[in-house]
Amino acid sequence: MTIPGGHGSRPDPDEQELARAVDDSLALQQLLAAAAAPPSSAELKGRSRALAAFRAAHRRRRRTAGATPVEGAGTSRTPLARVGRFSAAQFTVACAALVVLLGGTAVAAAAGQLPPALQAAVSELFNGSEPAGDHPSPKPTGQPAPLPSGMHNLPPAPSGTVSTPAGSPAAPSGASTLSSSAAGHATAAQLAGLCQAYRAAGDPPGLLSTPGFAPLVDAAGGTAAVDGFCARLPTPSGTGTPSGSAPSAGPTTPAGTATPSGSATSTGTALAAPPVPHRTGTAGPGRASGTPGHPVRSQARSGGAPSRPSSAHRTGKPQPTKR
Amino acid sequence: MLTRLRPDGEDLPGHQPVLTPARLPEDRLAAVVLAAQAGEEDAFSELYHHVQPGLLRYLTVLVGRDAEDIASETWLQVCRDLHTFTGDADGFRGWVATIGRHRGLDHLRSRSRRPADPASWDTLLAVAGRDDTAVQAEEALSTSAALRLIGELPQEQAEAVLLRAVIGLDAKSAAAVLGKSPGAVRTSAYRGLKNLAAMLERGRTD
Repeated sequence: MTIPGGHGSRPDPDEQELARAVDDSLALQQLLAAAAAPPSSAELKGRSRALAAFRAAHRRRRRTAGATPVEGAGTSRTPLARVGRFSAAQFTVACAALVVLLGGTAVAAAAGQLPPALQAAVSELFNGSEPAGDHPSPKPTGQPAPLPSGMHNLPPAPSGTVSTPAGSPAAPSGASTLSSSAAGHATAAQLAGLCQAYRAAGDPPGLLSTPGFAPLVDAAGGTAAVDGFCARLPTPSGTGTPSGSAPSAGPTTPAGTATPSGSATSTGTALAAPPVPHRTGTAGPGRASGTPGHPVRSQARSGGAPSRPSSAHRTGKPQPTKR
Repeated sequence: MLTRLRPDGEDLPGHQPVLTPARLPEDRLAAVVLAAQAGEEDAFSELYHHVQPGLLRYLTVLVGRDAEDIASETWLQVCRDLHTFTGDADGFRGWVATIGRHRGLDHLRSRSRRPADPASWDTLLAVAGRDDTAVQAEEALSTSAALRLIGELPQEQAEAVLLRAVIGLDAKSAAAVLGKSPGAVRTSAYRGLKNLAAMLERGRTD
């Protein structure tokens, strides 16, 4: 009878007692053997999920290690320092985000494990992800499709987001462009959810280093670009969502009736930025802030077709954009 | 560089000491941890296979039906923090157990009731149940039944028994997980074993 740790030359008397307690009872030996028996396949069914997390964490760590500082948020911190200052609460957010991606949200949310803000975001993401009413269903044709309604249901971004004065015409086709640029509705919705989680967490140090946010960082093109990327994602436009707003409908009047102008406008501006090859992170905010009286619509429509946000480079499949 | 371990551990030595669950040799586990820290997926997979069963069983007794969720969360944190881990093989098992325990206790606090209500055991047993094909001849008891019996112990005894006999920690590592002295853990384990033996004896004569 060996007990783990009893490998010293002079085992602790208590260890001997433990061993004797087991030796005395055959039934107990059988029980412990059963309790420590080789695993069933059911016990290992989480392996692929864990492996995915492992992959994401490693990729993320490598990227963070090799990241070049870009002007913008959070670049004064070293990646390592950010990880080190990561708190348990922030980890919960990250975990929750990953859980969202891996599809276990119902479990986490039902268990009330998520912070309130995130909980709300998750609920909206999942309850509102069905295209509502007259929304055309997503086509795999690469045609710009309307945004899944879940995207519009996301609460407004915090006031730090780029905003322009009310009355600026909103870009009618902004949302459509976004969803068509991503791999599909699920991806767009996920990115929106991650942005939401990111905002809800208030950009704690190290949050973006967690595996759960890897897709967002991927899509944005780096941690420093996440702020800009999320700002360019459409935030809720409330009733302003035109159901027939596919860009092919031509220059329609901006449906900006009750549209929170800030989010809509910043979206349009960002979308008007050149499609990708170089970093577009600063284009949106810079232009938007300088145009109090100037309609943004010309930017949004100047190409006659919507451009796409920088997330497009993630899929590597440029949309048919005429510019 | 790494030789794959038999996925199901069938051909591990058959003369395993009863208190030592099927486990990798210490230096092997240490090497696998290093490889996983370097990003090798095979190594991580092996690590998971090695550590997950004990973790899940421990959490099953600790939190009941939510054990799988807590184990998943534990692995997410392990993935995130793996690069920060330093230590030997026992240290690694203990590290994972500590993470799992913290998450499990947090979960219990948020649920604010003890796990082992009779209804939840049914679910739990289904979760922890083994494949019939894997049942070995000498086991009169299934893993889930054994865990259920251990779960009837007072919590500190149950934890001590599980950490020692199922996860395979030595007294010092188990003490670190539980935040107690090694002597206190031994005492809890000893009482737990004695209680289990008595329960089994009673069950036999009933």
